[in-house]
Amino acid sequence: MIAYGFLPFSAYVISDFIFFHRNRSISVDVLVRQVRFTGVEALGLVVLIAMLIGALIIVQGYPLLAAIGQGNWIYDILISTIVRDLGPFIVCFIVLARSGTAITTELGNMVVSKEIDALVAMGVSPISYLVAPRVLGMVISLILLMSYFVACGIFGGYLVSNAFQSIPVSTFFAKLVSELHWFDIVIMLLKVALSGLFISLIASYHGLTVNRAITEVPQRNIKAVGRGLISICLIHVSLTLLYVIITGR
Amino acid sequence: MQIEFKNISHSVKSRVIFSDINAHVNSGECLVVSGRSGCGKTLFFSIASDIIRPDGGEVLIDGCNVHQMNAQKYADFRKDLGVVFQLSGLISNLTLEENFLLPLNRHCKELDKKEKYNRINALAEEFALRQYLPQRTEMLSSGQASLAGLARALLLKPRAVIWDAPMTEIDEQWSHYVLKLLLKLKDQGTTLVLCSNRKEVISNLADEQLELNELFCLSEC
Repeated sequence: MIAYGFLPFSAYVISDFIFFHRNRSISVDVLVRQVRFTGVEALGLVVLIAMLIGALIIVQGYPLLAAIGQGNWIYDILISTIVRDLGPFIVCFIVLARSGTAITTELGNMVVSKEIDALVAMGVSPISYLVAPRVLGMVISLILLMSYFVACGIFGGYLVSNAFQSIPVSTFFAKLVSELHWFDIVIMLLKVALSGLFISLIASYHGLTVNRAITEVPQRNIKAVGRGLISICLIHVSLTLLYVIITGR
Repeated sequence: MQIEFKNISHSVKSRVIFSDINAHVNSGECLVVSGRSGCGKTLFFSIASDIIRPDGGEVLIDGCNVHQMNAQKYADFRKDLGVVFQLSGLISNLTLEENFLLPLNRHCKELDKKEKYNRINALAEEFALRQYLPQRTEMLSSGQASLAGLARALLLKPRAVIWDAPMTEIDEQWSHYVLKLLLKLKDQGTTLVLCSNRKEVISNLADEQLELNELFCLSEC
């Protein structure tokens, strides 16, 4: 399937991913490992970045908006950056750099050490066993990470906003929720789910296209990161345009 | 299991490696594939174990073309074929026990957990690997990894075993043991295809020998 190119490979993985339950007995461990590596072990990094960005937005934005008498816009800016635009992009970028490269390296090394051939020889499909659970795990993990990012980014923003103006938690969150539109959440989820799908497909494809030499692994990694980044940008820009067209904002 | 290679041809990057190779091995017999380094023994091993499909010709298993089998028959073929790699082919991010469970979970869904572990423990005991079962396979020496690769291939009690460069990584004592084990498997009717130049393998096991060189001749032993 690899020999036919990226699109047939992706179609095959997605069809396998739909019938994941058939291979559940051998693939659940891989799925759990992927969610733990991408969605749980990256938690510290994502929490730190989210709180710093939330704080930075308030530090930069609040004095400026307050000076023109539009302090309330800070909620809209927090939603736009943390929930809708910057937040999903940063989370996807972290996952591409951390887990995308790990997938390409791991699968590339498995090809070189004949582990993929061994799976084929045992009658275990490498797509069902290695790729489909990674794709599913990546999508689940990105949704989890994005949830942490939103929670921590907004909390970081709240902590810093108290330095400028003391606001009760309930008031801060009530104002934030009133500015939040359900479509913001839909766009955010679509962005991270689609990015997770493409990051894992691209990383797996490039890992499995390693032929024989271990020196091919870093080369494939560079290609995977480049193409992953392009796909993330295209997904995010397209969905932001869709948001603007639908909501008129 | 009867294995027949009919007019096998294969090229790598437009360089012809094989052209019209014919070989045949019956149940309980051993085909040894030998030849100089770089002559294509590992490629032949990959074709014989259906990891690579040849450019031309066909591999017949009990008279049935392996590329024309339906899904169920192909799954049975995979279950009946034990494949042992030169580099062991153990999955490095799994423990040895998980490596052994992989083919059992794929092909022996009818076995309960206890039966699976009994089978794993018995084989691990036989190859002195019991203490390594909970460890990741990267902890094993190359010799132990090679034995573990053989143990994993024998776990499903295959009707045929295909082994690339057998016993190259294991010590003399284990080599004797493995040689006896292969003879025992042969007596029990298991078909063997071994890609090796080792004299003790050829003299003790070979019923037929395929010499991979410019002539691709098949000689009876």
